[in-house]
Amino acid sequence: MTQIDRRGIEEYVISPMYSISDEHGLGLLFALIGLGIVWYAMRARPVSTRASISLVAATGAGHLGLALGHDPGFRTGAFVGFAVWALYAARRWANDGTPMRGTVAGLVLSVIAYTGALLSGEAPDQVGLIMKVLEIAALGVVLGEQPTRRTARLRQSATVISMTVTLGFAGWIGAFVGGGHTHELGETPGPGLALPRLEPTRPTADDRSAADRLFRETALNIGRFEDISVAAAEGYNVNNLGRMGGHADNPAYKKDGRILDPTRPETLVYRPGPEGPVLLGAMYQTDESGEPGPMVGGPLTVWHGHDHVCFGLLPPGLGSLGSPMGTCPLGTVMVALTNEMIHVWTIDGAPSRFGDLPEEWLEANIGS
Amino acid sequence: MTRYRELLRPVLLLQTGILTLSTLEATVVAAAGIGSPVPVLLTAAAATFVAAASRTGRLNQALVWTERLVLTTFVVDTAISLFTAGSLLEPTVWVARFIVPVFVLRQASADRRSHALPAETTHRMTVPA
Repeated sequence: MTQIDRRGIEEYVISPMYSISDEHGLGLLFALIGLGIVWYAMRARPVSTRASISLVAATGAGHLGLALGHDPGFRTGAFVGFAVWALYAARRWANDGTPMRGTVAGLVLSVIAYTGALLSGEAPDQVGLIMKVLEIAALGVVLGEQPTRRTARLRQSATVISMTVTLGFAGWIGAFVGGGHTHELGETPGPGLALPRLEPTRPTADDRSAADRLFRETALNIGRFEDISVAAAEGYNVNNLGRMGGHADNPAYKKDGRILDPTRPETLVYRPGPEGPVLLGAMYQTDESGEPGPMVGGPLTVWHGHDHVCFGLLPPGLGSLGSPMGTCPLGTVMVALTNEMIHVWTIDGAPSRFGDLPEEWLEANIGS
Repeated sequence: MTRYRELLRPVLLLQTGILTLSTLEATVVAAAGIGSPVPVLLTAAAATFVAAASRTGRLNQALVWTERLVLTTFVVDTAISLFTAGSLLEPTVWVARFIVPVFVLRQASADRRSHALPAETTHRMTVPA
């Protein structure tokens, strides 16, 4: 059996929402160190005070680390300003035994500022999200200092829950707006799309010729599957059309050791049309996750995988993508990285032969 | 562990927010005709149990099983991630699906132990001779 040289997830470019950018690594490290040191130093204090001070100090230290990872500028200045304020607030709290005026407002403003940045199209990353989770947790502890008062409890619940949900939604918006949707090398992908970490190059004449051959052979071999009864007779699972974006898999062609065989494409792709499913093309798939697909046409035939996909078990199918807050819905499992795949669009008039088909073109030419 | 009890409510509120967000995400996917309603119902039920516990402070069996389910999926997902992607899952996953459920389960365990102590023992422990 041939040993496959598999790619790890670090050899893919994925949405920043699921990764730690190079310039933010120091922020996470500082936050963890700050949390540990202050938690230990405050061990004689009541638990809620200890937790609040530790969380505020951690976010202050984390922002200091973020500032060190960025070039000078407005954003770096804002990181330094918040870090100084948070570390001072934590120290005053430790000395006085009570939070200084404006501590709650400062934490709320920090979360709102980040949420606003996400809503304006900035893609979130793990360090930014975890820093805001620390701040929301600190708010939850501070606002619970008077647990017997009903209004205080209500304010605590409303603040923590609404801020967590809003931050998550803003994370989705930032990730989708800030990420691209095509399958081009060198692009920052949107959530769920994993592109090989390769330098973009210009296609050569050989690349064009090989890509053209793959397209023609695929079109020639799958034309008969425009009739879904023929596809069903040859083992394609057409019963789930309408789910999974109209992908009909052939289990016999998966893990068969034949990766890019136009006579045995692993999947056919259909879209519901006014007169039944319309064949858009084929999707080839590698046998194992992380196994690089053969880029026969160089940069014209870029393979991609999917990451952080939540697959439902009851019944089997897509559940959602991994949430900015790190969860999948219960009853699903998170697949961190799928096999690589490439689409070949054989339908007449398709604006691209490989990669992605624009939704606008599909709606205009086939129907929604 | 009982001395960390006062952190329980903020932790459960954070988890309520996280599970509410997850329920809404699963609802969007199910409404688009891609996903199944089962994860929506399971996650909504979990969010309800956690929210109820944050209100009453009682860590009942429904909550304990919810936390065990969250923790189990974390273990399964970590194994899948190591196998498919060759890496551990990211920090938000560790917070939402490992630190939070472990904290709540340890609180529940501490509660059970303190309730299991015979009254006479408790009396001897708390009242000086």
